[in-house]
Amino acid sequence: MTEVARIFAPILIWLGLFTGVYALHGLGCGLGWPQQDLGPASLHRVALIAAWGVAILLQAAVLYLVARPWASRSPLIQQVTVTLAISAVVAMVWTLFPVAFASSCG
Amino acid sequence: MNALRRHRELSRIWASDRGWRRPFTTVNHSDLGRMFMLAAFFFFGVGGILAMMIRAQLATPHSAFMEAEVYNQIFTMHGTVMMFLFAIPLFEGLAVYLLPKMLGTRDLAFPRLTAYGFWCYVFGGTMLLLSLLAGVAPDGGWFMYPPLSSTLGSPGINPDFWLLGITFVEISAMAAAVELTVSILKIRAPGMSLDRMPIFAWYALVTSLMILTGFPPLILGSILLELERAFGLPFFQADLGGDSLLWQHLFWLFGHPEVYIIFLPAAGVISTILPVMARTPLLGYSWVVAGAVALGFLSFGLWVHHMFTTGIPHLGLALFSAASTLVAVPTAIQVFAWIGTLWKGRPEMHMPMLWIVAFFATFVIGGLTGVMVAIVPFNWQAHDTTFIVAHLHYVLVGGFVFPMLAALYYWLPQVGGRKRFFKLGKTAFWLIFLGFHGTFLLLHWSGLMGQRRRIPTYDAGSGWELINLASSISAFVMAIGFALVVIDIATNLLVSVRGSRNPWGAASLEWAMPTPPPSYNFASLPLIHGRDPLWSDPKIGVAIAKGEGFLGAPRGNQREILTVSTARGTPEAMVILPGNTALPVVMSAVTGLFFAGFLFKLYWLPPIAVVLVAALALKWAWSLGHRADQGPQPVGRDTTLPLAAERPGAPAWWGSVFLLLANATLFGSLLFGYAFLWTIAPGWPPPRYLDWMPLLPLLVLAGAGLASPAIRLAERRAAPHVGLGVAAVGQMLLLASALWLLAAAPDPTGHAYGATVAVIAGYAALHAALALLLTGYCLARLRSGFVSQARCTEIRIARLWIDYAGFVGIVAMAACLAPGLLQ
Repeated sequence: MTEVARIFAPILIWLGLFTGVYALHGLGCGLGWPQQDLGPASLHRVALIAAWGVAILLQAAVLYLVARPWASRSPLIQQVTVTLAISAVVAMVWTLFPVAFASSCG
Repeated sequence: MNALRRHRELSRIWASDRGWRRPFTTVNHSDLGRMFMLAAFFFFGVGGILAMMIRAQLATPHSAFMEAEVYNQIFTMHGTVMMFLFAIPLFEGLAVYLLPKMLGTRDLAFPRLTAYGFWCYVFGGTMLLLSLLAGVAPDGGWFMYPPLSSTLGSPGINPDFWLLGITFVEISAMAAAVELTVSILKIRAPGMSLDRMPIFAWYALVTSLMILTGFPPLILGSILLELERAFGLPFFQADLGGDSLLWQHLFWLFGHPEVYIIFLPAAGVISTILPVMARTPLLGYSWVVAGAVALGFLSFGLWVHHMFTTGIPHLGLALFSAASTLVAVPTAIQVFAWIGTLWKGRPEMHMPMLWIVAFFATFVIGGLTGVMVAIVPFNWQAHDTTFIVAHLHYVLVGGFVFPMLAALYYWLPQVGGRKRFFKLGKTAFWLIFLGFHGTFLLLHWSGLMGQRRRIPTYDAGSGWELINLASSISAFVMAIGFALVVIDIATNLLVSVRGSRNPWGAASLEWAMPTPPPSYNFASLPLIHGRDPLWSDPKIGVAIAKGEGFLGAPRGNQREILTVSTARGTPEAMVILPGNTALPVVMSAVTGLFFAGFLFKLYWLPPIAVVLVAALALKWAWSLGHRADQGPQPVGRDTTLPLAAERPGAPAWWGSVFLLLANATLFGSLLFGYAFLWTIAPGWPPPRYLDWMPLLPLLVLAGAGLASPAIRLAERRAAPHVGLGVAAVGQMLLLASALWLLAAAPDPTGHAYGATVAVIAGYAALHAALALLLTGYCLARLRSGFVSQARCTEIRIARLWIDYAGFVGIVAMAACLAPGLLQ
């Protein structure tokens, strides 16, 4: 069953992190973070960009873990898992890039 | 034993009852799959008639065909029937019928569960149809947005039919999803490793996991809205701390994955049929698997794109717009793999292939308009217009109905054992294909010209008249085409000559058996060496019939199958399945009493129904197992295996794991809703939060801390009675703490905070009670001799539920007390 879990893990982790950053966005709006400055940007923007960065790093770590040659005994499972892990990194960069520029709570 | 005697013996063991009892007592997957599909096609006919009524109404301006109130019911029921009573059940039926045959086994993991799910679907669907006949059908759109669907907008019984009927039907989807997931992972032919699995099984696995995680948010939403309607708990009323947008989040958390839950099985059908028609293996098998998994789970990150016009912040729009465009990539990977397969092979244009070509032409258009509506500015313009009606029909009819028609013609010789002779299907194809595009292509333009969805009529001179008239005429042409399909299928099934066993020259195992299939599927379970067993060994069917595989020697009245290791397909254990019984239909009827009690406001009835369901469930479980260890059993090919109940990882244990996955998703959705209301909803903070209750954490931690180690003690058989007894005490403490929390909650009708605390506490109490019941059941089984060192699946399953109840108790307490502490 670990082989099945390994296939689904990268994309599920993307889903969890994507939803988590969206939840952080809502929380920040609710707590008034856009009105609090932190250096050149608002606390909200800094928190969201930091979360995006952490999410990319975590997703890259998942890719590293599943891409090790001894991670799976089945070539097909290994290939599918690595493909999905690479897709998840790309998805993390692409789907969260708006946190860098879009107006946050308006 | 010769092949004929083996056939007779297996037929006797696996046969369903004869006569009128058969549909009510059968637990055979072929019977139930056919029943599911027949019922789904019946509901498709109902939904189709409703669609024709919609088109008749809109054919001309100021139509007097229907009153607006009736029209609202008709379009609501059209969407509801097609989504919940046709598309999902048709997938369930197809998968229930096909998967054991494709996976090289005799039945699914839990045959009685399949039957229970079928009857819940039929009873729930009937409930909805009766509302339509009585003129009190749901009329708030298939998405039931409050406040239109709450008592403020709909004080009548109409939305209750939807909320209760659909939840009843969803039991069927959850049952099928658990059944299919466990069966695909554990019940396969020996040697069928994951990389040798038929591609349809991969799609069915992803779809089943999506149902397990996609449906719970809607079930939760339906429960909350029904609680608001029945008892005044204001989850969706803004003036009392609720928020109608919460419903939209919960609904679309389900609703968007639902689109892919519908599309993926159809994609699985195409990936199965297209290589056979092209006479070459599927190109890029691993890419297609990756594409299906990516598509399935990326689709959970798109739900907000259905809410682009609700005023959510720009950043939210941008995030979900980006995610929505991304989902086109794994879809395109699959489309390119199919095109590549056609390119590589030598395609033959039979009826199934004709429908696949229609799929390509239609679905790609729907996919491209999907990318258009993923872009926020365009979405704002097109939202709630007939452009969206056109888009969703291109996706759903092109992406589901056409592939299912391909499936119908492809597997008809397998189901009926007859050679297709009458050629009415080709005429039907052209009527449907041209009728469909005539109906919906034009609606893109009327939408861009400003025609809103769901309007019962429109003014002359709007510029939409010609489009709507042409669309309505085309719709009736399409309907005639579907009628011809029914006639074509019926005549071919009834009067065509008998056909050969594998008319298409396919590679998968469902063609390695006599047609129509015998009740036991395979006389012996084949040993699989490759991904395309019939192409690598065309004589495999003969070897199976001669009993050269596993379980080729029938014993007594035992319905025997094997479980295998998930990844490698190594045989692990033998399972003895239950026989014919009316228990599933009785239990689903009693389940129906629960929903009927709420529907007709007979609130004394649901508790009685719960007690009866629990009693029937105990009877259901009690009938399995042995009072003595059976030891290793000969399963053929010089192999002995233990019974699944005498080793860890029995199918029932995995069933509980996946049911808990769905259950945890529901609980997570509840916590999401709570956090949403707390941070986003107007009307917060409430008049008062729960005060700090110092004894409550002690009680909860003591309960969870006692129960979890104690059940492990029982599982290790060190002191089973003591372990189970202490676990029961732990559950009682958890139950007491949950009830205390429930009693301490602020007035649930006064503010959404009190209502949410009450639901969270109720959920924790329910799970503590359930775990207590399971502990008591284990004690009774232990005393009756059904549990031993080897036979302790019951205790292993109870451990799962006890751990979960402890987890829920702790999280529920923390969530309810947190706002008061943080204030």
